[in-house]
Amino acid sequence: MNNIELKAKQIEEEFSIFDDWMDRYNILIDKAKNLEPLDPKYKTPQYLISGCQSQLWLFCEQKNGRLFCKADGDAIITKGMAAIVLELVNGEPLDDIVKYNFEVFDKIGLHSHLSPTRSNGLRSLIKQIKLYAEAYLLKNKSDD
Amino acid sequence: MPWDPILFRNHFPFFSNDLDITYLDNAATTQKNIETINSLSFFYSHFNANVHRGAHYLSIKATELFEDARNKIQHFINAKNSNEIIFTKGTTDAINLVAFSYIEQFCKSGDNIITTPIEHHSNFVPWQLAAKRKDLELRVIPFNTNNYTLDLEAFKKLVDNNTKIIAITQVSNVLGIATPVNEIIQFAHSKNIPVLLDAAQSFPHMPIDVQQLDADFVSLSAHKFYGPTGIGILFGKEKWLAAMPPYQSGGEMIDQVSIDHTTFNELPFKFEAGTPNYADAIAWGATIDFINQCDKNLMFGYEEELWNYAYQKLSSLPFIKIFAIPEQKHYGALSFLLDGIHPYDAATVLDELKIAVRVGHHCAQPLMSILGVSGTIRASFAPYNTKDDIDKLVEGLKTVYKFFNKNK
Repeated sequence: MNNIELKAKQIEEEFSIFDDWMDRYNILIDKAKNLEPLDPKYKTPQYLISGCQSQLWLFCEQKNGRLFCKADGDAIITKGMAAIVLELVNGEPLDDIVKYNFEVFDKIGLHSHLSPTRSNGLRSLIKQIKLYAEAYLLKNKSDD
Repeated sequence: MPWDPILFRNHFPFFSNDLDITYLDNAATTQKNIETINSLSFFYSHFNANVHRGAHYLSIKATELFEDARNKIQHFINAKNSNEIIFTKGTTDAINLVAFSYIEQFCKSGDNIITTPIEHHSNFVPWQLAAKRKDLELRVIPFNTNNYTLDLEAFKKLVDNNTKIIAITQVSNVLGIATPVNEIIQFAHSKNIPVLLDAAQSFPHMPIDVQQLDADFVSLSAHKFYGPTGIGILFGKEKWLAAMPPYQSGGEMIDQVSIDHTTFNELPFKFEAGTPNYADAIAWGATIDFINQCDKNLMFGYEEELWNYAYQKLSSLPFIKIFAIPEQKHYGALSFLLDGIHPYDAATVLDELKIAVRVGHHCAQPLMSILGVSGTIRASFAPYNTKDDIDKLVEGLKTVYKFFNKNK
């Protein structure tokens, strides 16, 4: 089990205590509030991940083959979901991120927020993070 | 006798499934009455054959039913002739047809098209694309956000000798208000300019008489008014349709094809390329029969009563901003925001409470931009909704507000 999977397991346990939707959303809201802020200079169209219903901004960089992301969102529930994504991927090796499929959202009962019809930008956020990871992997290979 | 929403609701099997959903997203699509559902099922079970093609009994029967549906729609909107009714996939498809064929025939570089900033993207983007394609100018009638009215004086100044069409919605899908179509059509016609009315949101909430309106084109979708999805019409005055080139080509719309040249079928078939969605058209005919049995004055009157009740209840909430001027008449939709709560967050909690409303920009981004918001929450009503549905929405909004404020 790699580090992402370990963290996913912890998140699963964190949510497993609650079966009430209000409690689950409370965790998300806490996570949104505790999310490290994104420098306002990145809240521009270049970093925007647009959903039809809510918006996210994402900044990613790599350090020593590991990905580090920061994000912000206008809707707090979407932002809380993004916080979980970042909690999982931040500081992790690029190839682990490329391989991981975020099934944790199934397990914590929030999968519906990832459905394409929700159009809240979360699916695109995950896709974009994976694209960053892939792009950095390629770059690192060509730099070798 | 007053309108009985429960009696009406009993025609809609969706509500007997005991889903316990408060359905307030009728401007997006309505539920379907049993007569419509049965008609679709009965047709496929008994008469299915392709239309306008065979000499065999079933094909003739299917064609008869299909053309019968066309006549029902024709009479429902009081068109002069059934050849003015073109079946389309829906409103968007109908507008795209005009934005292609009319523009192809009648516009040249330097001409202009006039629309409004309160349109659904479906009545905005096709014109924007047409303008790019043919080097035309897209002019927009100013909308006053203080009194929610279009500036008619400014409109008159936008019109000039190069104005070739005016495309305007009859009812806003976000604000639920009607536009001054009579004044616009009258002025446009004094300059011999045709007008397209997007009736997607008006058709379910007011009687549409295309002759009385004197509209040149009218687009609408069946599914907004209990009918099946994937079917709608373009009404067009014969003089325009006859002069316009085909939009898409293929089967049925052809008269003669030789290696060098093709001549096209007469109206309305010229614009119905390929196998039409005849089954849904026929089921839509059954929807129209059903609606015709209802007292439309009572039905539309009840809708107005529901909207007013919703406005009164919602405006009593101290944490709400409603995008409406109550003195105006409203048709179906009511948009609002909760103080400090993103619409997506509100809708997420409302969804947990089994209240279906729509959030986001409602495919009307130019309007969102002039209202200065990124989106709204929209509740929209149909005559099967009850005051109880609205009370549930109000209670739901209180829960939403408490939930997010406890979390501040």
